[in-house]
Amino acid sequence: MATAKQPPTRKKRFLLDDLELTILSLPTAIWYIAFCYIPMFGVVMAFKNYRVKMGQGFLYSLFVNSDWVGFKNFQFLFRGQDAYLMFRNTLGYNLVFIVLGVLLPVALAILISQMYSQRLAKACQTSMFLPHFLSWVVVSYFVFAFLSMDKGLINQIIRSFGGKSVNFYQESGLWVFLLIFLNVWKSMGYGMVVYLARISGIDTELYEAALIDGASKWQQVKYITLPMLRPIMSIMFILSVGNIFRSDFGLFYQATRNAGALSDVTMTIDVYVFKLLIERSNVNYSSAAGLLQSALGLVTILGANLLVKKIDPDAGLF
Amino acid sequence: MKKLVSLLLAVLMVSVLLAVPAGAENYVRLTWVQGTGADAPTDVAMVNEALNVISRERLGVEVDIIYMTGDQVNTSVLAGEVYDMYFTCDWHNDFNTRVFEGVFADITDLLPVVTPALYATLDQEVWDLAKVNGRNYAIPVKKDFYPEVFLMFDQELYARLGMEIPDEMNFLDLEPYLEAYKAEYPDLYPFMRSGSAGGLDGIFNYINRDASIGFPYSAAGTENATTIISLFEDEEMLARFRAMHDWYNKGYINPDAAILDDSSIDLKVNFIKTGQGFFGADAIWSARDQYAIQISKISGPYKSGSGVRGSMNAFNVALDPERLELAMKYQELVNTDLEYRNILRYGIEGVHFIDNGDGTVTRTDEGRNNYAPWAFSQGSYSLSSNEASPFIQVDPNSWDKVFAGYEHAILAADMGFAFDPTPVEMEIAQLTVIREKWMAQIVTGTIDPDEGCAAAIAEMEAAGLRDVIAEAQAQLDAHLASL
Repeated sequence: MATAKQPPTRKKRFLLDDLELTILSLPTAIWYIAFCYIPMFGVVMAFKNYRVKMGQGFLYSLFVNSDWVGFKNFQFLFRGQDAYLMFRNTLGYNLVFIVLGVLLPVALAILISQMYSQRLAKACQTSMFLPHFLSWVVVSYFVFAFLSMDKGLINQIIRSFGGKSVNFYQESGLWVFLLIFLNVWKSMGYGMVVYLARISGIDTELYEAALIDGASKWQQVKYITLPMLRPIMSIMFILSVGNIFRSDFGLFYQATRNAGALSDVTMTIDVYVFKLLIERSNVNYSSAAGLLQSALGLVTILGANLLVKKIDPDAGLF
Repeated sequence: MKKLVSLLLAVLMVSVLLAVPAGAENYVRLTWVQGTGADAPTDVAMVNEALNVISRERLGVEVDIIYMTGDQVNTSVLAGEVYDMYFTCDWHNDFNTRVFEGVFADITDLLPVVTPALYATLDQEVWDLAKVNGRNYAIPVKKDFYPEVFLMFDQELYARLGMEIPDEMNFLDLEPYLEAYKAEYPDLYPFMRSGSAGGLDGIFNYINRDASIGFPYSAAGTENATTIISLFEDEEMLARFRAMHDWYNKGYINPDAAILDDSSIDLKVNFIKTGQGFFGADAIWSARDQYAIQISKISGPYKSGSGVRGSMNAFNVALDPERLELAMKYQELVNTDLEYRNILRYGIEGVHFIDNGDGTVTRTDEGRNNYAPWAFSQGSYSLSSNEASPFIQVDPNSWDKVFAGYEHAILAADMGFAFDPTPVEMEIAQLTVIREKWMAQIVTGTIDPDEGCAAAIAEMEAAGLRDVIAEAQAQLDAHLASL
């Protein structure tokens, strides 16, 4: 009944505009289909004991030659001390990253948008964005240049003041903070740009009206900027919550140079799975871990969306 | 203009399509996956062509030699890619695992029939030690297959200091040499290490490297000869670890050793190094490091299955019988033809190396930079000519002395046992991660080994170390009972 009252919409026809847009999206679509959707049948590997049959190819090996083992491949994630460590680390770091990943970029975006000198603002923005483009492997060499025990910058400073060299790669407690710092340093600029774009899109009339009413800078931020940013903040939040069971492999493996002494604070699920795959080439376990991460990620992303919608019905992602 | 370009492109594409079948004549093209570190040799295509000239004439085959790192070959095998021949050992393309996966062809019965000349190059004892469950799946490389580990010293430096370097020494007696070096070069580290064991574990006979289990060679002949333990609870290893920790504290070892990999250490510096080797390896190491090296043995030789299986070449199980025979005949060529073997190792004469005419060859700079593949993995290492050294006198017949030295080698009590890890796969996977966490710290002396080993063992026990050892022990006992 309700549909009858709606105004007639235009007839669905494939227009020239649509063609252009389709072609534009084609490379991405193909990429996703080829590399994300087609290989997805590989998740059966998580429930199989994969045994290669030489000469018959991968598909035969997987579907005919390998036995089903049910959930046995998932067990390894929950055995021994490492299981506790990797779940604790993955979740712990991600919680901190998510909170800081919203708070800091928003604060910085607001500060930069308030800057009088546009030139300085741009310079700040660019220099904060730059680390985003550095590979963790490159960063690991920078970090090493600072922290190396005999030639590192920090130890040279310590020695020049008469102190004793510290072997930073043996001090796991310190790395908890260092890893958080590195992650913030590298990702801050990217998040900031997103928020800055939204801020510059806010209608200036709102601020003018507020000024006339005598609102201070702080009040303008509190009652105009932040509410306008809220939809984006919630989207960024939901997206990052979806990745709460994943970790930035480069940060935890490369930047720490895979130092054994740090493994209590650097062992995340991805690092553990990588070590297994590289050393033992056990694709069953790796697939099981990947599937579990994705499934849990889906649950958390749905949960976060629900939560956000409870608070603000319009702010949900879907 | 546009039309012209597209026309040209079209012609180019068609000619490429036509060119592919035209190049290949009626030679069988075999593929051989060889191992490599991070840098594969660059002049491979050129050398392959020179090799094919010989193999075409002898056997009517051409061979593509493909260089893969350990990770690459693991992935390739898992994906079911088929190559004809593979380099395999216990630390690259793991032999036992592959055999139990059924990737390699059983060649026990074919060896003496198809390739009698190849079969005759090795003693029966070697063929026996290479067996898994009584069958041969690969051809051991004729080389230093009974492991010996050496220390490498700067000859000139210690001669100047008046310190004598014995042919054999106890690793624990290294300290005076470290001390003297440190006095000479206060800014350098006399014992630069990376996170890998670098031969320090050469006294331990691994049953399974990932789980770090096995038994010390020194146990041979005692009542513990076949008692499997963890590397981290072996008293001899502990003694070495303690010495390393002591030297680490004294500043003889670089403090960042545990987080360095092999490639980040400059071998041209004359610090004391370790390596698995043989009589005559001093020439190879001198050529590599560009200064005169004098060697001193710290362990070996030990006769064991893991030693013989330390470098082998195997055949894909998927080959049809004709192709398998051809591939075996090809391996016979590699293992018995000096000219072919030298090209494989050194490259093209006049470009990559110069034949000195006295049974030795000299690599050119081009050879050193563009074609220096692993030589120990390519089939009979001892067949190829020795590399001359500008630094020390090289004996062209050094291998005779190596093999003569094996007559008195200690025979490890595992008697060619090969462990099937599949029943305890999950446990071993976890032990691998734990080993990786502790090994580098302990073996470089970075941490106190008594605390470190105890902690490592505790973590490993939580992950099922004792179950793995029990499984391995049961398999070993069954194997010994079946002999």
